[in-house]
Amino acid sequence: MHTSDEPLANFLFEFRGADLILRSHDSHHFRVPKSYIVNSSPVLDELIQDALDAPDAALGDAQLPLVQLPESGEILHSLLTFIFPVTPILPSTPEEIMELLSVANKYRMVSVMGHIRNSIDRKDILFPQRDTTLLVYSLAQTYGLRLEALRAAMNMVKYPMDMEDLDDKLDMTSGASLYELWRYQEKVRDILASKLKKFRTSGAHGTLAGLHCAESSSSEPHIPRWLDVYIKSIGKDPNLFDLVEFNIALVRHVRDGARSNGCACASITSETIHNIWQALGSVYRTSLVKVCVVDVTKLSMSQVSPGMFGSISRTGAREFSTPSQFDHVSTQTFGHTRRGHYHPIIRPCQLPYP
Amino acid sequence: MVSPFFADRLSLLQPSDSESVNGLPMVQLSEGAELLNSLVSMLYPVRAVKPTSYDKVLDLLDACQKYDMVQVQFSIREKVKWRVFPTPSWGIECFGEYAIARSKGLIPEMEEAARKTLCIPMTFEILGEGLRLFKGSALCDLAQFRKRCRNNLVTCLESFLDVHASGPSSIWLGCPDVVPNRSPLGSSPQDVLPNWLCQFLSQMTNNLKLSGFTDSLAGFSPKVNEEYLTAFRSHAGCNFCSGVDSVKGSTFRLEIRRKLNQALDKVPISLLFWVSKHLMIHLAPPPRYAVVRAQPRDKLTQA
Repeated sequence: MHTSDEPLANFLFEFRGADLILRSHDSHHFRVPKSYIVNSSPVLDELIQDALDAPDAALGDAQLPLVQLPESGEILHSLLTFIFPVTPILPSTPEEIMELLSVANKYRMVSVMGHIRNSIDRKDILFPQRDTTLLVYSLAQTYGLRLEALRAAMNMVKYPMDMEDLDDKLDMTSGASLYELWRYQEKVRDILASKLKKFRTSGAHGTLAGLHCAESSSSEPHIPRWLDVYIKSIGKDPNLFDLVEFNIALVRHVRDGARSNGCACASITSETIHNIWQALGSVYRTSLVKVCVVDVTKLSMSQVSPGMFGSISRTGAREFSTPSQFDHVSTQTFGHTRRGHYHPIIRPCQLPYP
Repeated sequence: MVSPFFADRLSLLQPSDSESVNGLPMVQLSEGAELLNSLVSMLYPVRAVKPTSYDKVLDLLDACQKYDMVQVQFSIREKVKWRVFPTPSWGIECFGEYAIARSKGLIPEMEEAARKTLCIPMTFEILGEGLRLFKGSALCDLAQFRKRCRNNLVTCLESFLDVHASGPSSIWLGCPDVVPNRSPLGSSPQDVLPNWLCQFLSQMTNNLKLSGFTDSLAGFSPKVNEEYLTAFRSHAGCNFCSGVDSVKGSTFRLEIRRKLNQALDKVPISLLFWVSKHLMIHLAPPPRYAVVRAQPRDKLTQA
């Protein structure tokens, strides 16, 4: 399917009836059936049509029409595995995966992007730790990949957002992206704190029925104090939303006398724990998706001036001048139409969780 | 001619390819009318049109840099120095001034702003929306600069713990309280500083080591007096130290503060950004042009 002086590994799939050659910028040739490509991408459809219509159209091996693309052979190969009925191959690094997504986004391959995202989800490779998550966030902002930016921001909530901690990672992302990430976290914390308060006052959505703790809060609905304190702490520090932290809080309570007092928490069932955790998780996740990440590439830098420092400090204002532009709206793809104009497709914010 | 850039540009103008208005050749420039008005007023023997804010002073300096107007740039800096033109801020706006000066490659302004940020905590809450002004590695470079400042202060304070005959701490050698503490390495008791002084210097050093680059250094230098006096009072019964303090104590404290300031002044700002700045100039898309009328060539030559 491809030819080059230095063949890439894993270029194993071959299609009969190839009627087009795609050439990467590093001179790898991919002999492919045109119909697959044009059906996957309106942008490539137009590009191929233009190339074929050109009076001096280039011809490659076997006198097939040749279309030059700016991507590398490695990325193109990976992209083609998501177009053709073969085993899809994801690149190995987060940087390359994000590049692959950006290329699919550029060519407006809506269905291919879905396949790539599913593949990423199955392998769970983009957000293993803070530094990678920050890198993915930064690349997503650079490429205008809103969903990945949002998911990275959601994952970053697990880590403290402190300039001292970020330290040498500060050059991983632009100041604008970093500001949006910080703002996202601030908003999430506000929403989380408010939702958790409702959760506590509702008796953890009724999941505590039958759990009679010796140290319950005095007011209705008598939520165990250790659980009340733990839930409150998540509002201040979202990275405490962790089953291990939950169990530590429970174990401390039992160790500090719950057993001798005959407290029901000492014999809490796994089903009750599961129910509490499910209900708490639901509150946590809905708080995260209630806020969308601003696409920094779409922000007008003319709005920025050093005077902002003073105004922010004095008023404490952190809102954008046009907040409705950003909240609950996700600009998914910015594509190129046949007439040469860009039309952002505005859709409601996609929830990465079911 | 104050600008080699314009000297070249005007010498290349051909009557056939240049636009003209009322018979005068016209040159398109990217700057706005307000800035150009101010800039042009600096070229002729007329009252200089004062920029309305320090941001606009930075824009003016940037234009001078772009058009190779070295003398005019010097003149603007003098006007800022003598407060004829708007001056930089002492508040949190210095973060933004740093970011802008850095993006324009204005080194003196960038250095001044970076040093001013030392007195302010560097946090997300303080920087807020102004973070959007930070391009490339500007934020990381500022963090590194603040770290280097802190490290230099630590080194400076530790130098006062080293006893040299000619060093400033040598005046304290001879406190009878430390005479029995002869060092096992063979140094003479005369080489040992009083405990209260060691504690004072160590305390200051440890505080610095424990603080992060995001912490403010405001009040650090004045704290020298406060901490010194607290430590000294704990050693009130010593005639030797009391005598030294009454004669040379204030000079010693001044010397510490002077050296601390020197230590800060010696910390350079990273020059790596020059590379990116250079690339930006060549890769940046063509700016939005404002159309201005150029002066006749003979007048420009006189200027």
